[in-house]
Amino acid sequence: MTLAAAPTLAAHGVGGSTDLPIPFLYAMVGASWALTISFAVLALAWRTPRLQGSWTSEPGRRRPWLAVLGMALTAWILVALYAGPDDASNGGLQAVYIFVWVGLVPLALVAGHVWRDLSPWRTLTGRGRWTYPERLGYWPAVAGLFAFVWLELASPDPGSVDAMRTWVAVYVVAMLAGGAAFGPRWFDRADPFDVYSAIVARLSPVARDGRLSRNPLRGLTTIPVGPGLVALLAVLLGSTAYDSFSASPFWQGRALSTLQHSATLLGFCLVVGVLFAVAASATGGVTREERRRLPGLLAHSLVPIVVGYVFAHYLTYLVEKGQGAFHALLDPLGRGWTPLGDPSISYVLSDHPSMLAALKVTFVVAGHVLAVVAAHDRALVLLPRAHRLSGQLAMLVLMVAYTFTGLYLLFSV
Amino acid sequence: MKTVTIALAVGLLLAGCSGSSDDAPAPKQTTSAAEDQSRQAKEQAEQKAAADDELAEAVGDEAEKQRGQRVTITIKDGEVTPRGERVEVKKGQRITLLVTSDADEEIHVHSDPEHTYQVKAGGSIEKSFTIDTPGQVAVEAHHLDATIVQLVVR
Repeated sequence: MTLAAAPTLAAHGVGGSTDLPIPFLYAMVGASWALTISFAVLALAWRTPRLQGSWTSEPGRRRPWLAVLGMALTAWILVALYAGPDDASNGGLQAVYIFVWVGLVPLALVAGHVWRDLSPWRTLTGRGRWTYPERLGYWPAVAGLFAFVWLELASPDPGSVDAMRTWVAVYVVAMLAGGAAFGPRWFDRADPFDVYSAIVARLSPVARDGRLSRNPLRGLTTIPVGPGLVALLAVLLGSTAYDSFSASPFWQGRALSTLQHSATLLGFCLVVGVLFAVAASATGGVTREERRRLPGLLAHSLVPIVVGYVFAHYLTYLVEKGQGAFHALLDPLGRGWTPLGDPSISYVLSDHPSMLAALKVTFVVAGHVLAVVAAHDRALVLLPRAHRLSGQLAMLVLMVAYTFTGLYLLFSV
Repeated sequence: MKTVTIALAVGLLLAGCSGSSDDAPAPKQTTSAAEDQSRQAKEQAEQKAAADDELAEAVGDEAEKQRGQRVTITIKDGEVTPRGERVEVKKGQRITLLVTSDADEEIHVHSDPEHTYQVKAGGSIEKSFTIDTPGQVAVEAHHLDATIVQLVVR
């Protein structure tokens, strides 16, 4: 029996079943909560900023034991990827799609930016020879993230081990070369996974030094703004929405080329990003220069929406397919090793569809509420007094639209 | 801070409203013993009727499970029908794929465990399986790179 994953609907690169649509009632309850809370925040909430963080301290030293752990885990995954089986049972392939890409988010949320400590590329490269050109901003990371979501969602065969081997090889070479050239700054701006983790970690109650609990909304405001930040978040949100959309009967009923899939994926990301930029700058009473800077200065408020939707979308994938990936990693060479016994999967979430649907709606609505609060508070800082209410309106409406679209996709696909 | 409290209160109030509609109506209080007796008799009758209904339903379910869900698939001139359709099935229900094809094709069922069925050019196959975990399972024509149906397992 061949286990080669089929293209297109080997959704997310690792095949298998996907979630049931959430019941209509759940979507409606979620949507009404989101709408009510949004306008309650706008109409009733505070009038002076109170959630602005000031967090300029230099990052601490990387913890050596985590660096060692990071090297070991990376070596393990690379051995499984390159020396393991050539089909979808490859543990390295599953580990990249599930643990690296999806597991990164809860890890950063729970433990802060430990990716920085774990990163083997940071361990292997030194202080760098040149200064990173700051005008590039996050754009190299945007390119890397788009390349990854393209491989996962729009490439001819997302389940292909060879495609993943090629992707990872290019990634590793780029990271080592960039790190050797520009030092740690390269990873802060150009490593797609490191940057993703750093941004999500700002929403973590655990601060960078691993002690201190802090208000996640304050942490969120300390995301360093740079060129490409909005694009980065747009790729994350747009691609996740495309992933849902591409499983719809409407889309599956069509025979489309890779180019058409790729263009649609890019279109989703562009729409998310452009609408955000327009809504962020839709206010009166600011100069042209100030208006140009508004999208970047409000970008942090998009992070909770991204995290909430990513959680809703990928939860079963992480928890259930993750078990399969774990067992596959324990058998990196495909020799049938089962050191921990029976490698069967416990469908803890799929077996309880109502609970799962409730969790998904909760994630989306919670992300939405945090986003609205963050945007409101930052608007109080940025907007002139006379435009504080009207200047927020477009952003609020857009966030409601994002959330409704997310709930609609969870309900209909 | 006060405004935050108000917003929270409004939220909780909404939660309360939506929650209360699910509550079962409180049982009616009765006074006389005679009334009590007749009520008991009535309840017993109702319970029996409900049990009968359930039995009938269970038998119906069993029959439906046995009969199963049949999906007829045709592959002709590089096109597959149906394409991308949803098919509702119950978990544990027998699902039968009837495939007729004018080309060599490989049918994948993305369940756990996966199923792979070969169909030869000009041939047809009939294959059955069950799925025990709720979720959506894609059935694909591998060479055509097309989703034939998405099994919606509830």
